[in-house]
Amino acid sequence: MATTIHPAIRTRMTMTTDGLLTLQQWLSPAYPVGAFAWSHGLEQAIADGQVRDADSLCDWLEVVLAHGAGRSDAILLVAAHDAADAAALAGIAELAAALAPSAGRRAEALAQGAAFAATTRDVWGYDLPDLPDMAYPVAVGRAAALAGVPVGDVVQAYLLAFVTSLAQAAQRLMPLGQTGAHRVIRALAPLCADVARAALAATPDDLGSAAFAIDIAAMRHEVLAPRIFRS
Amino acid sequence: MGAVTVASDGAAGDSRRDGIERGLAVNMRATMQVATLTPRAQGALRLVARAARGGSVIDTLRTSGSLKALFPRAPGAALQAVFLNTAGGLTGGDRMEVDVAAEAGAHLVVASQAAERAYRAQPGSHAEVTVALRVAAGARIDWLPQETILFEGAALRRRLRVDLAPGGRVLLCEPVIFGRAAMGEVLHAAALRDRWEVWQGGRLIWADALRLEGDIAAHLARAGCGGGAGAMAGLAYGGPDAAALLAPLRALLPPTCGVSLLPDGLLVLRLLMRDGFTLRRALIPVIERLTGAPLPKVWRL
Repeated sequence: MATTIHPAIRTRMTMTTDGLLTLQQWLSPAYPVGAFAWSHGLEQAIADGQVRDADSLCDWLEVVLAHGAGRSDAILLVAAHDAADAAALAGIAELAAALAPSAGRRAEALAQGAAFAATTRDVWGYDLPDLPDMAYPVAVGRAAALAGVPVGDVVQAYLLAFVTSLAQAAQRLMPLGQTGAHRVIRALAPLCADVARAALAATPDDLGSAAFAIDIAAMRHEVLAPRIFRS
Repeated sequence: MGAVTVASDGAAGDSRRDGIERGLAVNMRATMQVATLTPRAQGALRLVARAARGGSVIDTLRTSGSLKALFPRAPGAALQAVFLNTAGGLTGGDRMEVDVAAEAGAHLVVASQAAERAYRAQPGSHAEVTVALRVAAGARIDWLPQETILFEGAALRRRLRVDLAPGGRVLLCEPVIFGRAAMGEVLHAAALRDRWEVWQGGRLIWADALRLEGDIAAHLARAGCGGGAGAMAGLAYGGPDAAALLAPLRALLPPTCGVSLLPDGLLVLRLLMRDGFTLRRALIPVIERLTGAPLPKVWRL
């Protein structure tokens, strides 16, 4: 048996100061997961003109959050957090890795997961298994369970960190500016909260994406030249 | 039409019971939801192909309910199976179960006789299609059903599971058309869930979960979802030559489509096209490149 689960829903959305600060540290851009290297196909979408300004960026990221990896990662994070034992966690990790729609997206999920697990293991001494295929949301979900951080807060913060990282990628790729990027992030924050709330009531059976063009952009990115991002 | 019907209802009782038990195991929740509804149509197809005399032959065939199978004479060493749903389409409460295996050295091409129509389902009900494909070492299955056409109000859930032995090959292709474009039909309330899993040696090497519900036309109009597409296909190919096919497939694809090679040697493709016709026109050269053979006759434009 691994750690205990948080059974009461009310404890899933309230956080002690300790939890808040742990979460801020983990999901800060300074935490060495290398999020800045990945664009989730956005570099291709900008090259193709599918994303060209703040409005089209916002629409693209809404789809990522509500119908793509945002929603899937949220469900997987909660499932990893709630995993009853090592075998259940390994099953979630296997599913999360298998769900990546392209080689670049699998690398994006696994490289960040491995980096997060390695640092968190070294700093906190947590028993985060060194699984070869532990995707980023699975590693974060497991660490949150070990730290006792309420999972509802973790998912919201995880999603906001995800869109922040993509908005910063867009800032490097098109005329947007810091203020423009932060307007986009602010506009998407309520959706991060909504997707997180829905994920608390979901199970892996509810997984499902409709972000087809976003997946295709990631596939096409594998041969985009020149490119500055790894996905 | 040069085809021989080899459909038998002799073992219908057994295979229907098998199907229901498997359905229970596959999706307990869905089964419980429909427990109070009377199934409208049920169909089961169980087919095993084995290698013989330098080609492939039927080893086992059982059909029941509204699924039938035809075995048209086809050039080449593969056994070609064409299935059809005699119920004429899918609606809420329908259950279709397909279980197909290729034993060592056998090559089986499975297509459907016609496009499958997913009709309006009663609120709270859905049609369910479950497909299991088992591919032995040195065997190959090409799973090539024709398009599924979603009607307004359709509710369809599909699950496809592949067990691919190392050294086996599998090609999967599922095209979907969103609404009857010729009639100007637009999908404002429909639901499609499709879950694919490819297992190898007890390990899940790839999964795809599709969930498209509600105002599908509005979803597909968004740049990140469908970019205005009216038809879509998902494909996957696993086999020893998958890596070598990546570059040629990329060269064949229109810009609204993508292909990638996953670390476990599985090629995955996603195609978004304006309508069913342009989708089929894009798919034919892709499938021919992946099979190295002309498509089943039912697939020709």
